Amino acid sequence: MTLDVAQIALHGGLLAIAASALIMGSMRANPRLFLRHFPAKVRESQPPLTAGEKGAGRIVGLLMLLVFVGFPVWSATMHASKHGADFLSLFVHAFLVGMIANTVDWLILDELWLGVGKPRWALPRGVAPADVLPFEHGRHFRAFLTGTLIFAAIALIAALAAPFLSGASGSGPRASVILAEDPAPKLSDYGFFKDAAARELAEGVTPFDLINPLFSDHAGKHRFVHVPNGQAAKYDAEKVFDFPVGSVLIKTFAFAPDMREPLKDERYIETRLLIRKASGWFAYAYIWNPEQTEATYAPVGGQQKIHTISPDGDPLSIDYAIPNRNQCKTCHSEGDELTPIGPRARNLNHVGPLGVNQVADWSGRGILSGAPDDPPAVPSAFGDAPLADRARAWLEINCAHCHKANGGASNSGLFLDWHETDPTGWGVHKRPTAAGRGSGDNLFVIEPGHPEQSILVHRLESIEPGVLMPELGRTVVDRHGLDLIRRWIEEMPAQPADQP
Amino acid sequence: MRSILGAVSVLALVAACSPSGPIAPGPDAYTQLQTRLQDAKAGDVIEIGEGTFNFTNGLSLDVDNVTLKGAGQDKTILSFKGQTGAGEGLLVTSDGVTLTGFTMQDSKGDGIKSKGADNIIYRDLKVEWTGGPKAENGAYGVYPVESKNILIERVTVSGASDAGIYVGQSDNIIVRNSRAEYNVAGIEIENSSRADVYDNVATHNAGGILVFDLPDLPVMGGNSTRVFRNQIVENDTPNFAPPGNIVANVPTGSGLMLLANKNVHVFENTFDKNQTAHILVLAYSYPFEDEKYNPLPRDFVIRDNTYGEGGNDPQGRFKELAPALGGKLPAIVWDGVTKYGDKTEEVRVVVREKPEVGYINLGLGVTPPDLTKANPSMDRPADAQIEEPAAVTLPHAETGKEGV
Repeated sequence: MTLDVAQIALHGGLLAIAASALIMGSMRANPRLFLRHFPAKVRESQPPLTAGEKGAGRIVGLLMLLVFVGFPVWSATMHASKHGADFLSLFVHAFLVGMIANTVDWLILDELWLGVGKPRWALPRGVAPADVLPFEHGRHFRAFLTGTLIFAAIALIAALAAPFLSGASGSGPRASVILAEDPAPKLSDYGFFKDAAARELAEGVTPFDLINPLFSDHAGKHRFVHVPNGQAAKYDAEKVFDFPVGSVLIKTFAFAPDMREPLKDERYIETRLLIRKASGWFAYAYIWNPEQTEATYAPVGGQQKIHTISPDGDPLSIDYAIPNRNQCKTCHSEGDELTPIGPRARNLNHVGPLGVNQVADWSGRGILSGAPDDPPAVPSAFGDAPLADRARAWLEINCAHCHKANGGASNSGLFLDWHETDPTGWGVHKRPTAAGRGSGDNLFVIEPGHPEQSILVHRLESIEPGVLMPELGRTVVDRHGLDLIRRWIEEMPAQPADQP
Repeated sequence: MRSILGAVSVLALVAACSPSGPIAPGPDAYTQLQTRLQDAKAGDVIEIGEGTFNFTNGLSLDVDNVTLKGAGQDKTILSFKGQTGAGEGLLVTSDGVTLTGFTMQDSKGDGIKSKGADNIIYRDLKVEWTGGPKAENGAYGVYPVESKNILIERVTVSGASDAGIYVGQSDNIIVRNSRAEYNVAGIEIENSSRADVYDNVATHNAGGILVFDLPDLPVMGGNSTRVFRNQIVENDTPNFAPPGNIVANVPTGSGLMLLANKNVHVFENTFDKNQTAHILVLAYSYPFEDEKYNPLPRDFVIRDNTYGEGGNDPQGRFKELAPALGGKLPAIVWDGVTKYGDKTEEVRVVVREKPEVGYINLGLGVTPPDLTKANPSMDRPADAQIEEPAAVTLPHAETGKEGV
């Protein structure tokens, strides 16, 4: 159950004010509109209601009904769009909102205002205060109890109606939850998956993978994309596709007891969301519980000990780090903007987990528009393309999210994106800028022909914070990546060292 | 009914109160502090209480106009001795941030880094590596980079394996009333423009104060820096920078080292007991291919400083040069480089000091220089009127005494 105490207090308070204003205002205008609530003695002393008064009374009654039912329903709808459509939460939420007003009505209006204040103007003409005395506490308390029952009934209506009004009902991703200002407390609130364990995809959620993935301590990764129904991301040959508002990129990180069989007894660690809202992309991480039944929003990230066997068959102990919100941005930034990294044409353009070419498939599904027949593709880092191309492709996905002109490591002047054309820019005989001990006593980022004298290699083979690169997301060595970069530098023709 | 009433009032109370007050040391302190840094709203002051906090992960702030405030240097101590994550102790990436009143210890990478963080104030801070000067220490103590309007005052840094107080690729900077000791470089202004460095103490570093301009960086063309009223004394810690870093080439016992750059004014400082030399004015001495880069120091004014003994045991590449000069270097050394590649420039270096202040022009002529081709001269360059940059003013901080 999710209770939003602040919102309950706010909406309950608003309802109490609205109801009080309505009641007091009507009594001020004509106390006889409430004649049937007065003691019999007063009722009988009054001339019958005129046709006009009857009409006005009905309007006031209708307004009260509207306020008393409308507020809890509206408030529960807000709750549903923010936190999902959990019946009990919605019922309690709506009931408490109503009960705040009910309590105010009883204690403030009845007991205090009428009972103690005894305003003359709240009495019909010709009725003396003495006519309504003694003040009957019991009668007002009974009204409070009746109100409680009524608000319970209203809460029932609200809890049933809110899911439909908020669009949070039914299967499939919930736009209202996705686009809410705050992240949902639970991953399941979004409706990306049919089951609690997030193994079965809801309609409108498409799995994909990348030609070259980022190395994350051997974690298995499951990627999904959701684009709002009827909309499409705009193709871009270079940059990440331009996804419409409401799109979500979903990535689950997982480990199996033996990563040589990554799907066998796989356990989910965290699921990260990148949500495209009107004001830009937002990154949220959810951590899975040990029972694997629920993932909870984790703005500060966390750490988990993982014991497994690496894909190469070595025992592996990892202090797996789940990033906090700021760390998400450290990698996912383009200047001041948060941005996805993976889903660009050149890294998607291959046969994905569905067994079909992903760019063509996305176009066919209608979630991508404007894709040409022959989009670019990067060579697979461990395929059979020329070594230099594979090395540059590997560097791009593992390093260029920071090492680019508008990335987190821009001040280093080391640019490792696929399109960098200046060898100094990608490190050849480039001196370190702020590497400190990360230089490992080497003079250059890349010393052609000499991987053992290259800072790039030193930082890839280190597991020491402050030396290792990338700074985030890696605590063990990526042997295959390291070998690739080593061989690339080894095969570069040695050049005379630039010594003064 | 009373219970309902109670519940309602509890709800109202909970809604009205949000947690605040200084964060206290304890197992949850990291999560509490990082949560508060992430959830901060503009204008918030996040307070850290007294005591030692042991953090295993770096902190980060990405919300504009937030103040992070401790109970004072040496009272609030954030220790990163057991750090396993992140590249620095604290990373700031938002504008208008004030950091004040705490000590950072033993971060694995840099102490405090602020990148693209305009209008930042570093005030009353200490950043230290408690094991003394070691190559394994983090590179920079305080490290604002790619930013505008930077104030660093009353900050003490010791043990940095590169520069204690380092400002890089930035504009409009004041570093004052600060202390840098036992670092490789005490204070370094690199590839930056409009910097005032004054009333600081730089002592027991390998090099006291550095003003550099380096090639192959997104921001180049460092200019308009004033270094005045500083105590640059006893810089005598053997250079412990990891080789490869540019500061590894700073000779131990360099008081003030000026490399490339334009329009640098040095005045009213006190120099004493810097064994290589008090002031070195040098061209960038490595080959480079960056066509936008100018490796020469241009329009430098050195005047009215006070010099004690120094230059008596030159280190680094000046060691081999010293015997030819009687084993000693004078107070002020200019390498005399005026050419690079096929370009020659008018290089104005003005030395307006008393006649007894030692000066030498090594006459190396071209960069990369060949030290065996030195053609030394004691003749002071012709005086020239070089306009001093206006005092730096910072819109976000009271600028206080402007000095001169």
